[in-house]
Amino acid sequence: MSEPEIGTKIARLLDRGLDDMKQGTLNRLESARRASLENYHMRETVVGVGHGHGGQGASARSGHEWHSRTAKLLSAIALLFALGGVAYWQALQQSDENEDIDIMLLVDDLPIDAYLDDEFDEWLDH
Amino acid sequence: MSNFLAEAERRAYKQALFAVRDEHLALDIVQDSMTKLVEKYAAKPLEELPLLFQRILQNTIRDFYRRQKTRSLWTTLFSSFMPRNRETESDEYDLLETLQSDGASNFGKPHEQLEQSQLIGLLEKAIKTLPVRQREAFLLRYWEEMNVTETAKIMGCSEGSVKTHCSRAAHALATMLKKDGIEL
Repeated sequence: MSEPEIGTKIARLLDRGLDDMKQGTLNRLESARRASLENYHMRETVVGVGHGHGGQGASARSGHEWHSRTAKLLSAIALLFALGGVAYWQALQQSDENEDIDIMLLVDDLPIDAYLDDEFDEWLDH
Repeated sequence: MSNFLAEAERRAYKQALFAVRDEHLALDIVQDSMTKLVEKYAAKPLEELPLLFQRILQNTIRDFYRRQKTRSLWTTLFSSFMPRNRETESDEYDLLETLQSDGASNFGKPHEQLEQSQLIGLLEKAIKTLPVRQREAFLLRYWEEMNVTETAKIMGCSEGSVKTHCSRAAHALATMLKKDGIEL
């Protein structure tokens, strides 16, 4: 028997085998098909309405877009605040450090040479 | 689209079942394929759908194999830490026997139908034992009635390879069935 003959006979038998499939499997296949088609139709409808069918502006899609835009805007603002906060905190830290150094200098006993140094006196006069 | 899917879903399910040998996985694969087809190619003309659907289906099955390969690699790596309780592994492949016994449990059917369902059971079992590429080529060529060029396109191989796979598969099936006393 040639290959195409074998193939055709086997295909025919396999086709007959499809009729013996369990009802539960058939039901699940049907619901899978429906789910795929419904998802697509839902998305298509939403896109269609979102693109504006004569002034139906408040569609689910445009609402969703509004939400996502607001979320993006709020995230950007939050990020700016965070960056500002970090910059402020760093500046504060810096001034604290400067104050600490000044205090240390003022409190510390200066070596005697410092008082003898004319430039130091000039600096103090400033 | 709906009519096309309704017409193709059973064969698609069987193809997936031959490949993965698990009803739930086969159903998942078919649903995934249908969803992808509907999402991406709903606007395509009806005559292009069979080829596209088959391509998606075969790719989804291949994805399953890839995932399974990765999973089995991890399983092998950790198998030395696990208790050995895999004696029943071969039981995973009893699905066709179940289908066969389901067919045989229809007492109301005549004797001929019983014989036929047993024959189909044996045939499906034989198809499952074929190497993946041979099975894929054979089913696409003869069950899905694709030509050699279309089959090669779906399988991503040369037309010569498709012919070789088909020829080997047909002869292997005929030999296996002959062993069970079935002449085609």
